Amino acid sequence: MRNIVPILLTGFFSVMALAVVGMSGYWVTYEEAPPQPIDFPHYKHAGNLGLECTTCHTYVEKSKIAGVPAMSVCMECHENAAIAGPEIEKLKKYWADKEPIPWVRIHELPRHAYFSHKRHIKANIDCENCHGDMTVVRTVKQMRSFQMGFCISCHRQNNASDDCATCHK
Amino acid sequence: MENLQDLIVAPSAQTVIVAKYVITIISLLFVPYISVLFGSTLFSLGFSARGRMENIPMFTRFSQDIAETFIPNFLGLLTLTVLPLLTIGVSFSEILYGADIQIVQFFAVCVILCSGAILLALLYRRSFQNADQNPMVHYLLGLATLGALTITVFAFVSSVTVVNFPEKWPRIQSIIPLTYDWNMLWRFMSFLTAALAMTGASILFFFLRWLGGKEGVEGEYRDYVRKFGGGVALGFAIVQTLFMVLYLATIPMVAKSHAVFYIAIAALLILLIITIMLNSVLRDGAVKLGTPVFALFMLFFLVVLVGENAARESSLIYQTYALEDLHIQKMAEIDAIRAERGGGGQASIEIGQELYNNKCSACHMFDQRVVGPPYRDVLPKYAGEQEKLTEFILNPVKVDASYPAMPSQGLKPHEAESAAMYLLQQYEETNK
Repeated sequence: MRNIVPILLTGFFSVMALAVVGMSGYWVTYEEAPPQPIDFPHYKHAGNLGLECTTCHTYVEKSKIAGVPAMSVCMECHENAAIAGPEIEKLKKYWADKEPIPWVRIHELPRHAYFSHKRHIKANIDCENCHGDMTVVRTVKQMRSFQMGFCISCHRQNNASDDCATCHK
Repeated sequence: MENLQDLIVAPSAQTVIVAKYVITIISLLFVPYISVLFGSTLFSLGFSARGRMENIPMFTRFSQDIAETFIPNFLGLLTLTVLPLLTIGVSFSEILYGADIQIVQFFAVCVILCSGAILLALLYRRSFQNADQNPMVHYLLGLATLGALTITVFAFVSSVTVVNFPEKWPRIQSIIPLTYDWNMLWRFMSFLTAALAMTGASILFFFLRWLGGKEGVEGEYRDYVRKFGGGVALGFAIVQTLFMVLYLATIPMVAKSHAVFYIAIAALLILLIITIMLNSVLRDGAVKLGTPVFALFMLFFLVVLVGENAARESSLIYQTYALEDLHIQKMAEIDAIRAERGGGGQASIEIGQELYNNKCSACHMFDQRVVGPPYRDVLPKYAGEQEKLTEFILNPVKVDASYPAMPSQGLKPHEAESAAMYLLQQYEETNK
């Protein structure tokens, strides 16, 4: 009978620890960066090589949607330079099979919010403001909540319109 | 108050690192002590009222003993509360330099509230001398101290919590940020319950263990002190766990990381050991465990503070970038001043060679096609025209359709000049 309290305490704390493990599991599953079909190292391209974001994300200045770079953009360099390595082999296989790379989409705004990359680039908003510093990041994850408060704060700071119709068309 | 922000000097990269350590280390002094001050005022006031109403001298004595043990003189209170709070405030202001948050004002409010609370605490301690003649003044001072301490803790917890919510910064108008927010509420409750648990542990340690125990704490009184300290510490440690988990469940996504969760598990493990020890103190009268319990509570606070630092590291990632940019900008300004005075910022073959090895050679070789064309094909047209090559390196354009466009390397003019100088020199040497 004497040992029942430590057992109860251990049980209680185990339940609490399980709750924490559950929360971390939820975070890893739904909020942490998901694994991608190719482990593309942003830091090597944007950081070590010093490529501008627009070198690969060519649509970002011209279109509402930034889009994923075409595989031909990757192959422009990887046909000649940096041609070895397991991740590049995967890229070459997709290229040879004429299969698109099934990237997992990270940033998705709700359909009732209108957002244009082109307008933000024209207004000289750094990509980093929303996407983080890609020169140090390996796998992309969402760095901001992209809830309305985030948009409104930035619009007000930059004297952009905070009229409802600006984003909810 | 808004001008206070202007007093903060722009930090260097090293200052920011030091500021982060300072916050954790100084908080390890401030947080446990303000906790004990809050708990001891509450318990001392409660026992004082009970002792006088029910006419039980032991309670009256316990009340006075608690106040005298945990409320030191003015200098002691200043060293344990206001000064650490000022240091923490300045360190936060350094970390958040240039951010759209009124952190200096938030901490100025905390310091003012805390100063008021310690003055009231001193008056409360002094009021024990006339407590029998003027019990109402004594109780009112106790209640005022308790109220002031609660508001101080509320303001402090709120100011620290808001740091994890960068998206809320521009919208905060009040002098105490986040007056209503679930995460803030759970952290505040977690702080209060941890404060009461810590007070229980401190009563055990300072009454029964520290320097052989307090003089005259014997017999029935000693037994009561043990049961009360142990019971309070055990009960509130368990309740605190619930609030800690609720707090963790509501922290913003940007503050989460693997470290935050690992540290929470470590904190739970420490609390489990503490509660098992406290059970032993209560059931078996193992008073000697008072010392490890107190030490483990301090370790618990340290672990929680390290966890908070980890959460801030994640949520302030953009602020870190902004500070790095600021640092680079400052260094560039220094370089420009040096260049003006004739030092640094000069083009040289050595800089050119380093740039070639680090950047150019990723895509170019002298005699072979890589990503870009071989130098032997493109350099002849620049022979004797170093300025033209420098201009191209600074602003590259697509020349040959069979190669991808060369991206801009973001070099400074003297770096581009160095690269051009090195390339042309190498080209000339190989063609001799």
